[in-house]
Amino acid sequence: MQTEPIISLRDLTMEYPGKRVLDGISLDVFRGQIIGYIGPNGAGKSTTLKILLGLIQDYKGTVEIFGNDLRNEDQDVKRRIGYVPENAEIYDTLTPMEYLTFVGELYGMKRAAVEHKAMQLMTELGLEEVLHTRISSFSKGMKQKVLIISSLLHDPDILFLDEPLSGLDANSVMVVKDILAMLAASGKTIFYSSHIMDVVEKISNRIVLLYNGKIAADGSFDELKCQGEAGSLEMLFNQLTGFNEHQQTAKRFVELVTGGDVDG
Amino acid sequence: MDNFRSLRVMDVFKGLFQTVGIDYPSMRTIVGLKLTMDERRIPVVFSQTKLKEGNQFLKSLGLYVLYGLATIPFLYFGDSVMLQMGIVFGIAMFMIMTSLIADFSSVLLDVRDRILLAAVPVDDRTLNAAKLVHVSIYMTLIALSLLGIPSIVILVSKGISFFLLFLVMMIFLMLLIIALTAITYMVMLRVFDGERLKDMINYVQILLSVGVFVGYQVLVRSFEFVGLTISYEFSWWHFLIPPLWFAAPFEWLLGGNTSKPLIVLSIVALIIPIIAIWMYIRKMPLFERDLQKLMSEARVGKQQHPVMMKFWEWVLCKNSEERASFRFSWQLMKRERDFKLKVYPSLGIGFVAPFLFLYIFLSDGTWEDMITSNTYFMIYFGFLIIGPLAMMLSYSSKFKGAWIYAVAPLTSVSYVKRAALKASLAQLFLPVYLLQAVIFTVFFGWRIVPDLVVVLFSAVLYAVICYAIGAKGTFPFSLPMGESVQSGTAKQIILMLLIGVFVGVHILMSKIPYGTPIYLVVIVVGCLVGWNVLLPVKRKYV
Repeated sequence: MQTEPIISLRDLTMEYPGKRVLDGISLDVFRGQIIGYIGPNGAGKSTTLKILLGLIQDYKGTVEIFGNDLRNEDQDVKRRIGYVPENAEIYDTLTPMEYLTFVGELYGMKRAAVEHKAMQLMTELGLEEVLHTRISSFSKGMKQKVLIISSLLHDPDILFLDEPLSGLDANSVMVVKDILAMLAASGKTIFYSSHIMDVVEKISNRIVLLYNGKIAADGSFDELKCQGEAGSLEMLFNQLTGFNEHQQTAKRFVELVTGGDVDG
Repeated sequence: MDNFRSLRVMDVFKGLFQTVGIDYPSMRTIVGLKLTMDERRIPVVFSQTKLKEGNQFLKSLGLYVLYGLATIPFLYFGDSVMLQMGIVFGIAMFMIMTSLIADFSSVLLDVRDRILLAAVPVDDRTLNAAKLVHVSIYMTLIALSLLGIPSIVILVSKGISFFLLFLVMMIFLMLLIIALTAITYMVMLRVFDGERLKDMINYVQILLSVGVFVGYQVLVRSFEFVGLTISYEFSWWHFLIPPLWFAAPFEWLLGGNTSKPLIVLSIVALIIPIIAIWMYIRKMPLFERDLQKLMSEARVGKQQHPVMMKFWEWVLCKNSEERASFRFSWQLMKRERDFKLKVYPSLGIGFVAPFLFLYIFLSDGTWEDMITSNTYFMIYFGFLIIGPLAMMLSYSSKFKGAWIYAVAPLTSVSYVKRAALKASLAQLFLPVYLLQAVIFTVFFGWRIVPDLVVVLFSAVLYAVICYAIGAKGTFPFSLPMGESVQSGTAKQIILMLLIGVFVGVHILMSKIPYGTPIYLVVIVVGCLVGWNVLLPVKRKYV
């Protein structure tokens, strides 16, 4: 259906001293896809995202976004990208209004326009009361919402999200899930990493599993299901990452806690 | 963890703690844990120097020993024992109380206790006792280092009875200080909410830094003003000065002065601390409850309309990118406590220094001499603000938020940096400088205005040089605050010497005919060149 990939990775390799985090990853992402990027802790998910954003530069291989090599640092490419970092990293002594105006203006929007849009978006997510309250007093979920808004202010074509749903309550998760689905339907490309398999299973139309710096699986959930005998993404995840002793681990752990035998 | 000498000293009083119903082993564990954590904390006194391993507090005690030495001359100052001891206790009280507020607010106001230890089966009495013991240990250490050597001097030169009285009075003074500090916090907690309270503490810490600088300059000179033979005479307002309460017993018991007010003062010295500490222990549960405020910060804020920010933004910035960064930097500097803690003391020092040196000049010469001289060049001491300010611009306690710079499509990184530097100068340096300039103009007359303009432009040039040296190509607010202490003192010294260069050239130029206007042109051109070379605006192709 699509011919031109929006994002294209070729032989992407990234090494930290003593550790190869990414080991020759090749991947094409097309318009309108929602990619769920999963893998165990430390598999290199965040590293991949940071490379795509230009936050890490000493990688090997090529990365192209909209057909532009990232090494050329094209500001027009950056203008079409939105990003939500993990752990809600934000200058939290500012108020959402102050932060969002700053971000919007950096993306070349007019101040009045940003202010108006920020207010409307904040209101939709139930944050109109705290528009002028310091972010430092927010819960993790509220911070996350502010970051999601900041990533969408300038109407980007690609969205990179690192654990976008962390800290959100059940209702907000549903809203954000629907927002992502609708954004993708309107032609935006979404690339996000997560640990929450249920969510990934439901909202991604393509799942990429990273393990030991390599892509261990790539396809829609149904396609992946056909490859193994797993019934859920969680089980598939365990299977592909070679982790099948969760019960034994749990048993040993509980035994240590209670100091006795447990019927596994 | 069990290897703290202070814990072993505490063990001596084990029985005492247990008789008042405290779970001693639990308390010992808690205090031990806190002492362990303290080894990883840096006190305010050291905030300007290097980050080192070990209990920084213990190392800072050396400083208190020095301060303590400074009290020794007062023991032989004049003939009145009341005055001598009043000054000594006054210094001790100021030093201990300020350090208690600055370094131990985190202990007194620790809310993590509530979260982490409330779930553990330890009763409140034990928890509170642990807190009190923890603070007392440090206070004792401070008091010992501050007054250890002076008390030996007292023992040797004034005899054993004087020495013993001194020890007793010190203990009561310390009780009073603990209670007073805690009660101050109680009142502040009542009146202010969490955020405001943290701001208040911040201001106290800043005051401390400035107070120490100015205090010592003034103290050293105070000898010259006060005559040496003063005998003590009572006035009613002496009841309002706690150090005098503690000095009274010396005058009464050892000086043989049995006037009634003195005896009353002595009794006050014993009774008030006991009442205060009793009140503190009684009100402690209430205090702990109010502490919860520190955690709940959900305060619905109002939109602020900072007039100065909008004005300077409009005057100083060229495009929307620079304006956005300017506002961002302005707001961040206004709010970040760590930034304020590092920068505001130098703000105070920079403001006071020129006047202080004029004052020193005045003690040798007359007012007429001064206002006709070229001592107005002292205003260059205001530059002491700029170095730390420009250096600190790269740091933030929320430095991880700096990803936004890398992700955003900036046309030039220099706009962001220029905006941050401009915002810092406009917000912090300029108000101080303008005030100084006005006062100096009142002192020295209109003749110095051209020079003041030169100084202003020199400041702008100096600032960009400081920033270029300090920031080394990093984005503003993008490095962790803790690292700032490592950025060498050597650099600071070089930057200070650079001020000397500016002063020197300016003085030379002012000596030749038409020197000042020529130098003004030179310095303005220097500004333009400096800013464009050091923060060049070009497309970012790295």
